[in-house]
Amino acid sequence: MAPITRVRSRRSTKSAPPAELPHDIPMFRSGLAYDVGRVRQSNEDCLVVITSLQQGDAVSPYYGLFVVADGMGGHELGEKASLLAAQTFAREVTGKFGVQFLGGSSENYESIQEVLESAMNLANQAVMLNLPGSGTTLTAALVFSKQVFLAHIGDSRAYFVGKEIRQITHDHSLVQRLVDQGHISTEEAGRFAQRNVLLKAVGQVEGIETDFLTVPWEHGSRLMLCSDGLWGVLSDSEILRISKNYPSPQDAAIALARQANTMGGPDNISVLIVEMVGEK
Amino acid sequence: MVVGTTLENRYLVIRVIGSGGMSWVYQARDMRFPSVTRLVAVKEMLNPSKDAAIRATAVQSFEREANLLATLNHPAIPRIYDYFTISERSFLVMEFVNGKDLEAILTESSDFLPVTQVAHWGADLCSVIHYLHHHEPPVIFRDIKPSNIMSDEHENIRLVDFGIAKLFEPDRKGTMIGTEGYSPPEQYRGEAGPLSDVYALGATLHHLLSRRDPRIEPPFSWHDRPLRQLNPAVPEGLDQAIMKALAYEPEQRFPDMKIFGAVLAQFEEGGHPVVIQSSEATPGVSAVIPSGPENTIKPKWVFSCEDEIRGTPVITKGMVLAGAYDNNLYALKPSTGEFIWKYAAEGGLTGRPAIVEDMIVVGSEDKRVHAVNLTTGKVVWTYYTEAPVRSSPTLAEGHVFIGSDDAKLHAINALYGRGAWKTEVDGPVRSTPLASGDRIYFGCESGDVYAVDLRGEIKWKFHAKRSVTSSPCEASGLLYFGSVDNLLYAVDIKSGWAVWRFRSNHAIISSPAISQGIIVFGSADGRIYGVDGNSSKKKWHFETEGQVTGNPMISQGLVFCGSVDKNLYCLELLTGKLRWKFATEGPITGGITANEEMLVFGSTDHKLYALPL
Repeated sequence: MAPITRVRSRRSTKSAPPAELPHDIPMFRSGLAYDVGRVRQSNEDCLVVITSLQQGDAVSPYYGLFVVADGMGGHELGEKASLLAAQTFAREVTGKFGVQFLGGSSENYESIQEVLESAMNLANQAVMLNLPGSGTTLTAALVFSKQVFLAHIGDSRAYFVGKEIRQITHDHSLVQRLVDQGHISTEEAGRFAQRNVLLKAVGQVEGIETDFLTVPWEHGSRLMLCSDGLWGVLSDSEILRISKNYPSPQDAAIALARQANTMGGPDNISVLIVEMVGEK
Repeated sequence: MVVGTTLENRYLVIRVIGSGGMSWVYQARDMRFPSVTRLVAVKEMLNPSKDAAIRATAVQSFEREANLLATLNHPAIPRIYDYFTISERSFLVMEFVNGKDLEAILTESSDFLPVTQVAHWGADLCSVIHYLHHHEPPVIFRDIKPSNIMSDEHENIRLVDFGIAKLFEPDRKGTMIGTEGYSPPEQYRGEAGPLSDVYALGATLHHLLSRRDPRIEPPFSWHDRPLRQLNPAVPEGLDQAIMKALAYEPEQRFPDMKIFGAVLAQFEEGGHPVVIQSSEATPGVSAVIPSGPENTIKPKWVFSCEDEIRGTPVITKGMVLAGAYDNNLYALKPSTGEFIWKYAAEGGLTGRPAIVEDMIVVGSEDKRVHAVNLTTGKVVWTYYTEAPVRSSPTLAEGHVFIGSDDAKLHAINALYGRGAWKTEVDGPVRSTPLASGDRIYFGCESGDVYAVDLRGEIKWKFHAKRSVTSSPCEASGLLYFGSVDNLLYAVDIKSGWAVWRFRSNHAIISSPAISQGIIVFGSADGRIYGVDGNSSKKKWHFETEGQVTGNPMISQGLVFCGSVDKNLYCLELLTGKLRWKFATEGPITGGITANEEMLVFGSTDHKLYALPL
């Protein structure tokens, strides 16, 4: 990120006190559900939520970093891989972005894309080096200035859930590739035998290419990150219906995980729901 | 097994050759012939499973390989000598192939393998696989890949590891077997037939020629890495043949190995073109794509002035307006190009005029901003800056915003020409300001890009490494602009934080245009680029023969952009494919404007061109 000169707005010379204290400071409200499901013995998913808020005279910026990772490899390797990747990723992003966000100077001139990609590469190296034979998905959303910056590898997903539901990320899976190439339909994809075959995962090969995407925050929508334990079991319309029923993101996340368990809970379920409050 | 062990009182194990899947392979000496050194390969079935059923299946599969090999007789297939079991351990004794597998050959070479050599291997492999397919009963190899193919000491090709080869039983379904990356789509569904081997051989040849390992690429993504782009030495016909073998649908591949082999043989050393009887078998030779028809587009009209046209014209209210370096602002009839009036400034006009009600506003190198009555061509007001004006005016909130080489952004009351405020910055402002929301964004020759509010107060400043002459455009909360530092930047419009940057090979002076999420811009590296605005991924580029410093224009899914190579190019927005080009007599450095019927642009050949749309 290049240094930004933020110019303070002129201080008002009038001394009229504000009529009321503001109730509308923009910030995030998030909720999460983390459940082992009904079949698995252990939970190989991992969630990270970091939000930062500052209020000053001239500016009131805030940012959030939301990460979901779904490990694989068995024998505790999967849980370790997802945790190691998510922590490494978050540490790198908060180190670079977070420090500068709090006014710290930075020698580097990295763009947000470069920060997220280098964080993903570090996570990849960490898993390859420390947990060979394992791997993990990693889907991360850095939210700042009404923009969502996504870094993504694997088949965990990010959605906007509002009046409608819209998937933002694109799975790196064999089945998705076959759908993209028009070889099978979305319907057939749901029944496809190798549904869980990933084409890309963190910790498998050197120099992975990260999907980077920036999308403006969809006004009035929630951002949802989840592992395939949720989306593989509940249809988009079901997710939308349940989300609409719960005004609190925490209640919505729990209700979604509960429903996935009702449907059999074949895999670990991780759901992270983020709302932006106070933004006009 | 320990080296030095003798099996069956006959095979003395000398060394381990390798291991794969369910087996170990050793080199051994056959002691039945004590006076000569007869080497053999001994394959031991590995079976770590404690499950009796699994163990039984593995033994069965091992026996099947042995039985299968015993029935085969082809110079490219290792001969089998013996098969025995010692206390639940099974061994297969085969001809020892003294050579290297193709994967090792590829890994050890630092450059591309000779195309003729790869074609020769391919043709030989076709011959042996053809033999297998026509064996009675037919055998499907199912796992063709470089590591299963050896080149022996006489440089003959040998097919090794028949571990998963199977007798072809049509309509039998099973689980995925084979090697991901080389295996065809149907094999993922557990189906394999002769055409699956065609695909795997295609994948193998693609790997050998491109040096790109399909095991680490997404399956079936051959079209994402065109062979000839990766290795220009590959002839077009060979590329087409390999892509035909790699067709997703089996029926679109070569119908049999013999035909595939005949096509490959053309590309061996001393190979000759062959005529193939079956039309099915001919690799799809696509017609040579002609470069876009040149100047088949006839201009509606051409207007000549006295000097270069470096700016961008506008079409409005029944007029085409264009500034020229001959100091004149010209008003012409759009239908005919007929002259209506001209207004003379005292310096060259290099920008794009802006329309303000019944006036036209334009900056000039005479340091002034001129407002001229559209009907009469007479001056309404002029505004003085302290240096030449090379920026173009932008209208917002009743004001004209324009930069000047005096290192200021000027806000001028649009109706009366009175200055409202100036914002001083660190260098000349030549980019065209963008007004969006309650902010004005503009680049500066110091390399800075500024966001100012409607009072001229700087809200943020972003620093690129070199000049920003390119004018910003906005979409989805991001600001896009190029810099002489070769980069195209995407910056968060609210905060000025860099979101991504895209590197071209030379300075970017051209101003980006955006449509359908694709950012289009030119670079002095001679290319016109199409980049995805949300992901920063390049969608396409189009190579011209000169620098591209002019601004592209997007209309109806088409990109129009001039180049210093004198041509105006019309490309498809989604693919960057050339639709047509139009040659002028001078470099085109300005922008293009269009209405429903035509597009208008100027060239440094002193002419203004109107082309029908």
